[in-house]
Amino acid sequence: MNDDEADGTRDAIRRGAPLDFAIMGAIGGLYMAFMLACVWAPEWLGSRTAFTGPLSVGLVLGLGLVVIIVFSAIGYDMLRRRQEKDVKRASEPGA
Amino acid sequence: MNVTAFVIFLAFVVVTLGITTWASRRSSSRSDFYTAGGNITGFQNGLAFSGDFLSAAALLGVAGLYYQAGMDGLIYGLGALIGWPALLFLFADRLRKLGRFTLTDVLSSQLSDPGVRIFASVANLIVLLFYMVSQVVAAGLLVDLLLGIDFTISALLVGALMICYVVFGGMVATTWVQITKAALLIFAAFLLGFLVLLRFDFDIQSIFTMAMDKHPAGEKIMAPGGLVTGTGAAISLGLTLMFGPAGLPHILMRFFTVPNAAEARKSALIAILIIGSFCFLMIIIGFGAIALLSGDPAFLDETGNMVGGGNMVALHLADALGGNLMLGFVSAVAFATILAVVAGITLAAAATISHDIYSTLVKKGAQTEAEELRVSRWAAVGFGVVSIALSLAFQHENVTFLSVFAFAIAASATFPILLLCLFWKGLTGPGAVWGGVAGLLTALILLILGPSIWVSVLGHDTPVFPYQYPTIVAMPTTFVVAFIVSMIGRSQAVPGQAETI
Repeated sequence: MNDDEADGTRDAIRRGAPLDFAIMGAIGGLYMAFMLACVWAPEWLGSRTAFTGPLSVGLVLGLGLVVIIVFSAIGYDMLRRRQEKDVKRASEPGA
Repeated sequence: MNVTAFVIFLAFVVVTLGITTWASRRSSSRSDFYTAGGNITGFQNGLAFSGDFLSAAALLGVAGLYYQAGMDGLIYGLGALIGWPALLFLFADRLRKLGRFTLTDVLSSQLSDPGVRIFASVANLIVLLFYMVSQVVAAGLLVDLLLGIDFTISALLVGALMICYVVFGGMVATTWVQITKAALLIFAAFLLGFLVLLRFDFDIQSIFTMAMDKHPAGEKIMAPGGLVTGTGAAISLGLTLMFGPAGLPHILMRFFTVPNAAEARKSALIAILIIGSFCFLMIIIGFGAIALLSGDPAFLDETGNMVGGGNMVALHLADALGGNLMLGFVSAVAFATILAVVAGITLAAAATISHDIYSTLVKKGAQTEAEELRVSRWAAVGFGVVSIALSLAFQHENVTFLSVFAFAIAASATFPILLLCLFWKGLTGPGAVWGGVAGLLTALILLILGPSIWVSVLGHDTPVFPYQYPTIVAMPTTFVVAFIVSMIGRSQAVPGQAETI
């Protein structure tokens, strides 16, 4: 066990799990929807009528997924850092 | 032989051997050897993670796929990124809090059943060996293609270097080799992307317009084509790419190299930022290759196909944009990429053999640290020799199924058990073992009956199991069996005993 051993119980490990699963589920759902759209609607994904530029709907959706993953990761890290700071502050003497 | 490529590759080898010498002085303890003493920063580890994920296939293979089929390249390119949400949101913090050296440590910290350690060790070794052989074969073929060095010599060279990195430098050397390689690969991709944009006066629209004009498929390259066919195949591929990386031992082991959970999370975030940027760059590179190389007789053979095959697209693009110097640089980076990946796999295998099997199961913790380190180093040599021997034996075979199998087992057997272990209080030792074994066997059987082996290797006309990836069946099997066995075990346990299982 490492220095976080005291925290290493199943209960502590599961803390925050609903939020983690919610984000994971949302991204996983979007990705699966994208994959299924590739099977069910390749013509629609290849359409360029929705945009003035040359990018197809499929490329924009795929890149959108990349952007969503990147920004959700940044937001998640910021949220967890803030939570950790709050916990640390609360545990300080005199808090 | 491309002299520039050879010189740059030689420089990479000299630098990485220098790193290994430096690292060997810092790898005196077991913790240093397995996890670099937990002293790698989140940023450094993020770079090393990117190095693990962005293999030669991510540059050469995906560029070839864009060139051949347009939009399909993006579907494949997303595969390098889509495994990261599971690693960041579900595992990063928790693994660092529970683990010490290996994935098996995490499972054993929650389930005291020795069967769990045996199952995890065996599953890890199978995944690592199959993944390793496919990588070494790919390395041999690539070096043969790029530098004109014979396959056997290439495989022996790759094997000797990776054993050297791991035996003498442990995780410190492996991590810094990965960081060096990741920096080179990212620089090469940025440079290629920049040169493509420069050629088109930074007008992205004109790249896509010219690509559609020049490609034989015209506007169809903007839509998905033949990569994903059928609903079941799409779901199975999606599950494998999303959850396979979260079950790969050499990836998970990297979370133990940072000092705390916050740094583990940061390293995953850095990897996501780098790999996400890489996805964007590959679109520019891929469509730029279509626009610049299509129809150019300098890069096409008599039949109109790319000289050297689809994997040469990125290299031909480098040649077209920057001449022999750029071609040599990208070729050397591609080889360095493979070298770094196999070193990480070898280290994870050595840790499994020495720490999980020898130290914990055989010696039951009664060995000295020096003795375990000695076994680790010999295990690295043994694993490397076996991998090279197998890669030489399989050099003329289509070994794609080996990497498919590694990902399928990781997604089907290792990932579900790790997930249940972390999040479900009801999981018991027998539940984990039976669930994992059921998933492993299901994945193995369906893989043999699927197109990768039944048709491509055994030569039958049609596969018994229709999908290349068995994850759509094997992963639920693991969850269901683990759940049922755990529930039966808990119902049979005397009151008060279940909580202590």
